[in-house]
Amino acid sequence: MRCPQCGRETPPGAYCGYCGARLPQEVGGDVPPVHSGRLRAHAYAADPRESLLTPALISTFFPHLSPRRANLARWLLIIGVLVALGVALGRYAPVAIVLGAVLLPVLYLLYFYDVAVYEDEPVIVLAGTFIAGAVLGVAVSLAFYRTLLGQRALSLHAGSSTSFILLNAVALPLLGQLLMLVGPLALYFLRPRFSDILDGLVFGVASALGFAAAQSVVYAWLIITGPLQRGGGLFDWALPTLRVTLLTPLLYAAATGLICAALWLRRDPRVRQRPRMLATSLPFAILVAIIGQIAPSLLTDLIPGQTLSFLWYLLTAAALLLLARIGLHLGLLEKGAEADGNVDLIRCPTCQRMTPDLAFCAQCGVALRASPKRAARRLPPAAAGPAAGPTEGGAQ
Amino acid sequence: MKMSTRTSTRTSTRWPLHGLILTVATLALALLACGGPIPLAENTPTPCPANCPPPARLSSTGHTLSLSGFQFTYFDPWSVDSSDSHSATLVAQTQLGQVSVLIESVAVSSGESSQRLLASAVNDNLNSGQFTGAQDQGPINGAEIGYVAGSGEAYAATVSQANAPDQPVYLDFMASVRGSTGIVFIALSPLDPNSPDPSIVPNQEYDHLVNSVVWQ
Repeated sequence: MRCPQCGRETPPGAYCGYCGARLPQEVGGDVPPVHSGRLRAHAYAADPRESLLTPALISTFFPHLSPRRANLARWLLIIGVLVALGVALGRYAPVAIVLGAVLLPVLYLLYFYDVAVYEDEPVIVLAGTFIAGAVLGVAVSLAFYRTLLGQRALSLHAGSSTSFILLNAVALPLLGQLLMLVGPLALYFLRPRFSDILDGLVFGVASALGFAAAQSVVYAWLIITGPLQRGGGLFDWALPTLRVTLLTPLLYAAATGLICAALWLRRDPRVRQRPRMLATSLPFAILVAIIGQIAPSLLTDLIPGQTLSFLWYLLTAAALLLLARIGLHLGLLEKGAEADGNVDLIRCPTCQRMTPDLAFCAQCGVALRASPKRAARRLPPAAAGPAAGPTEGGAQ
Repeated sequence: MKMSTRTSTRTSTRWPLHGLILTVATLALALLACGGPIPLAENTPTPCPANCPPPARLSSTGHTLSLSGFQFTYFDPWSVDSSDSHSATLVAQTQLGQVSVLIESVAVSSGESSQRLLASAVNDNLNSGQFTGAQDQGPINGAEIGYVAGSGEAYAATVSQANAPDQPVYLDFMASVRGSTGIVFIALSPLDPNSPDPSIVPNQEYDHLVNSVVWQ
């Protein structure tokens, strides 16, 4: 049948195998709305149950998880944040900060283990992502620790000096961004077989999470090594804990993931030949990441205050998360548009039903690249039998 | 032939990991060489037993600053960071960062106590959103400014900024009132006044400053 979204002939099913758009049902069924334009915002490519414009952390940074695992990860994250917040409300600041700093990296390590996409080379992938990020995060934070303390104008009313702002809000965020890219770039050149846009995103996110955790621990070292329970009001440590637990890691992960996803997309020979959309182009990703790194730091230095600083980081992290999500979505669509008409059947790791081996599952609409151990689930055509017909609406 | 192919394949799969480790280690070591360990307070030094050198202050020149209602004298390493007709902010660098002192005169209504002036200064400055976890460390016994008895309170807090190291800080507030003039002294320091190391406790510096105040 012909897909009303992309116009290509697609095997029968609930979703188009090339663009993942919902297909009209056969006689008596509802006709889904046809969304014009290339954005297809009603169904996010890595999880069509969600809208593209939902700033969902798990489906953006953990794209290989099945819906069940994604729910589990979501609950683990919520529980982890609540535990860190509870400890912070008790003013056990050292415990809250350490718990918060390691929460997302530990979740991401569990994700690596669970989806097992890189199980044949775990050492080099871990070395190029978490470990490289963490080592460089410790190094750069220690390198500038004394300078930052010395240049910070510890004063009741005066603002920060220009040299401090230039170092703290411009130079260090840019240097940090460069260092977060070192490990993924090494993997890019040394392991060309990791060629998917999702590989780039995951490598960038993992490296950034290692960097953020290391930097948070080093920056909070005088608190971590101080008294177990600190003074202040009930909510005094809540904002710093939330910042360390969620905002800083998310900001770094989104910026680095965005750059790496755009870089890895260039590697695909089929996509490389086509004119690129702005949101998936490398210069755009670099520009957005630089602005995202500098803007909240600059605003924090120019308009100080705990709550305002929290707000700057929250807004920037949310914006970058959304842009990373849009970049990943469009990248998956671009790859899908160039996919060959391969009608071999595979079992979709998300919905567990048989589907043609195209860019998107014909049954549940998920991007098949966003699946754990995809290659291992390919079935020989003879064993698979004829293509499954349309079903009851997939994962919607 | 087959053997050499296998050898070269093995080499090509092992070198990337080594290369990656080498790259990261080189970058990390280069960065670490630029910095140093996190500065912590040193151990208590051995007290000078005999023939001790005189305090450097005796040989340095004092600077007098006249403001509305009072004047005071400061010595090196203090310098004026900013001032207006009513207040002046002095700063000095230490191994743990900058110490900052604000001295200001305020007009008070007749009969206003130094305790009330102190409470107002604490409220204005501690709740500015700049400090996290402020904790009252108790009154400063014998607080006085320019030999006029007043009130004082010490606080510990943390400067927690998203993009810079968290820094424990210590605030000393003092206030005295004479007639319709009040003077407020606020010191903000990364140096722990309870440290057993006298070389890093700035209390003596604070005493010099407040004792140099001359009411007008």
